[in-house]
Amino acid sequence: MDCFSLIPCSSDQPHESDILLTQTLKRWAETEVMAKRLENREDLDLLIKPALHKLFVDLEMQKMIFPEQYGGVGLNKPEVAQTLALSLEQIGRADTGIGYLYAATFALCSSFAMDYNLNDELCKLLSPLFCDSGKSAVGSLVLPSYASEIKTGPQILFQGRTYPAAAKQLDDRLIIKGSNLQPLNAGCDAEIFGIFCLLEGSNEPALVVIPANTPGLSRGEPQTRTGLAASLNCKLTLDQVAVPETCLISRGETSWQQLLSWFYLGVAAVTVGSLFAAFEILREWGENRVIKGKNSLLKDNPLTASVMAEVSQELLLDRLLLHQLAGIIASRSLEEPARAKKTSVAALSVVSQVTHSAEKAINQTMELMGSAGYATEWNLERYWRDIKTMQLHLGSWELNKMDLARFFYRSANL
Amino acid sequence: MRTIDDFTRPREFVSPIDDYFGRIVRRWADEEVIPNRRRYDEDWQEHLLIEPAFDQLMGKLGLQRVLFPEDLGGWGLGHSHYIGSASFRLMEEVARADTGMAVAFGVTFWPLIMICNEPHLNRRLCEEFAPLFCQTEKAVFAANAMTEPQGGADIENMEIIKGATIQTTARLEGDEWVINGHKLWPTNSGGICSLFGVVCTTKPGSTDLNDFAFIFVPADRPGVTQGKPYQKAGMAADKNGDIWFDQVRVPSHYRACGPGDDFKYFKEVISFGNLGSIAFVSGALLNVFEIIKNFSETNYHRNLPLKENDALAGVLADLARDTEIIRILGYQYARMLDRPDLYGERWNEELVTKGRVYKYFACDRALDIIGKVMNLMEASGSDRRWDIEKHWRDLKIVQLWMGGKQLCQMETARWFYECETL
Ligand SMILES: Cc1cc2nc3c(=O)[nH]c(=O)nc-3n(C[C@H](O)[C@H](O)[C@H](O)COP(=O)(O)OP(=O)(O)OC[C@H]3O[C@@H](n4cnc5c(N)ncnc54)[C@H](O)[C@@H]3O)c2cc1C
Repeated sequence: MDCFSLIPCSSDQPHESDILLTQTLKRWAETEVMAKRLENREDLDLLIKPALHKLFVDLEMQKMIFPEQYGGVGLNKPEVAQTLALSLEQIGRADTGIGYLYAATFALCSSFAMDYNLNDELCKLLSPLFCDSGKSAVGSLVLPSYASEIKTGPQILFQGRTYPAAAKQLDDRLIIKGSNLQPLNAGCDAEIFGIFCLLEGSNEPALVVIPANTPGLSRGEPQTRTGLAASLNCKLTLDQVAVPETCLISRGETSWQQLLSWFYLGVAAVTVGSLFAAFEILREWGENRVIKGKNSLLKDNPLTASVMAEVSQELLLDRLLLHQLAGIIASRSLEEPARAKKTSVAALSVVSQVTHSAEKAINQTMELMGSAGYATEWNLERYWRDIKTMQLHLGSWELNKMDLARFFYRSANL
Repeated sequence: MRTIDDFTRPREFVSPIDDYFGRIVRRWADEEVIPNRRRYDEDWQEHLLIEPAFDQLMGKLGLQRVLFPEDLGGWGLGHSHYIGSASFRLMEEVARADTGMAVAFGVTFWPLIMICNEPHLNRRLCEEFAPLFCQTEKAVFAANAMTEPQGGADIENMEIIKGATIQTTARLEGDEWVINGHKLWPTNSGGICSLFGVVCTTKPGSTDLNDFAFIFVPADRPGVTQGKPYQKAGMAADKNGDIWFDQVRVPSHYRACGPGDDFKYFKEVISFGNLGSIAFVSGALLNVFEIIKNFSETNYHRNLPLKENDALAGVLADLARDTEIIRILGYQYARMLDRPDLYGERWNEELVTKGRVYKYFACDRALDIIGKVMNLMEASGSDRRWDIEKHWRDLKIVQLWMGGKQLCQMETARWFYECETL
């Protein structure tokens, strides 16, 4: 039975086109990833890269948001939020890391290709990469975070966090510098980076896109992480990197809130999809595992059944929240600054809730599966590592809560 | 400067060897393991990096001998009145560096408890097996083979199931046991074990406690096959795999304690398993404290070290609280095992249950707080260079093994509430 049909997502019937797309993605998940998982595990060359290519290029997912006039599919209206959520559930079910790459890439492209912020010059510049190259193109984000050293003199911070880089306008170019930048994903293999900078002079936040092959952008050693093996990450250095002015996607906080809202929606959807996969594994285990030596199935033991019930409850509630958020974004709530701010707060709350609840649920799933849950062969532990890793890339929950407090309580000094 | 030594170690509990061996193992950990452990995950099959560190600890420093009587080359811990507190300290120090190594090291003693501890010391078997461990500078591993494909929890659920689900059989033929069966997951299997302690039944399906048998099987006996190690989420330094026993013959005196007593003293093995688990958690938490202290002093928010941010400091405080409490709890349990005159025999139901209580408390708390500490570190929490995610991955199985959390809950409820059907 299709487990997705057990868990409702919203009261509205999905569009016919969304149903077709999710069916296609489900087929992709099952044939390109899940069927090959046991043999190829997390191998980049044998499993991830071919599956990514199929998804991004052959199934045209990487051009989904680009307008048709640039060779894209033209799904660049906020209504695509529902499509995105349903699609990323399927992708996340197959592989959290691939889903995460898509969520970040989509979010970055949403900052210049949506109908409400369409930047023709950037679409023209980047569409050959995404719509015409025949190669998979991944976007990576670099967001404000902790500082690695104490600075002397006055500091310009973004909501208490340190800007990863500074940009300066010089004639018709932007010059960007920064060291020790930690991308959220794909530092080693992204084609474009979306970097959140301090715009010198006006001291505003700015989002700048930098093609990976720009002179002055250098990559550090590949990092190894707990999860999200679908991409290799590394630190970046920007040594007086010069890009055309077109690459300055936006200034001010609104575009930041828009981008993050899309990113959080994507991450929440990937998380729900991954939790679906865990739920399916648990269902199978519960059907077959006998405990207490009396032919009592795990699913029929009151204690284990109660833990299993909690897992499904988390999944159901997470899914409802996800699709509620998709509905809010689809209602064009990101266009106007005051609503965009509110939406981004909602998105942050939802993604935090979903990732924390998924962490709890997958921990419980592991607990019910004993050593099988811990063995690579059973395929559960990978989702456990991936979900946690993705949660960590959203930033510290303690500091994210400050963003919520600032919004809800007008805390001025946080 | 505050260090891990500022966490309380109840002073009235420490064993005479505590400080001395604690320091030696700490140095070994700092020099031999911590600088290399990041590469252990890739070494899970070969143990090219891991094996020399084991040789140093267990062979050269001689810690694999501790349980055996002194006159057989051991250190006599098995008949001491500080076996609990001394082993807690040793396990904790090893786990601070690498929980997988701590498990492999600790489990080597696990089956030997059946023959090295008073009052059930089996002199004949000690004499037979001591040279294997005491006359070499190479690490030698033993394993405690309980878990079977149909389930581990049921075999450990001794009060209720009474061994009835055990499928590995032991049949007495003349003066030999003939053993048949399939075990999986024991620590130190996957090809490295030299001596198995095998949980068997002399009559499949029986709930007669006399039919529960614990029999030693040297790994080189004909009919013993060890499978390749499994790939796991963590614990690379511990190899786990399948073991098949196909008409394996061992002398009849290889049964550890005999009918009835095997069952009884195997519960002591469970008590020590729980003690070890708490020590693994405590050691890992101490290292997590060291890591996050460093991280929170070298990363900044609003131009201040992270530890000076009130919200982040709340999480740091919770880590210190949990570490402090779990450590005190571990020592308390160690002492309870050391003082049967005050707390009763190590194999009695109360002590086994209380071990489960402390173990599942420690595991649940540790995994929760390490998850929060990782979150505080943002992406660095998943970066293997910080080692914290390694502790998180390694500790998850400490929560899941030995019958898992639910078995701990059921045994706790059964004992405290006198339940009759759980
Ligand atoms: C690194 C590692 C080291 C290990 N070391 C050893 C070792 O040294 N020796 C050894 O023999 N095994 C070892 N194991 C195996 C481990 O101890 C078992 O896997 C564990 O006991 C759980 O057994 P299981 O996996 O068969 O799960 P099951 O026994 O099938 O349990 C599955 C689930 O059912 C629950 N459950 C079980 N019984 C009940 C009940 N009565 N009521 C309610 N819920 C219940 C459990 O809590 C669990 O959630 C090790 C495993 C690993 C991964």
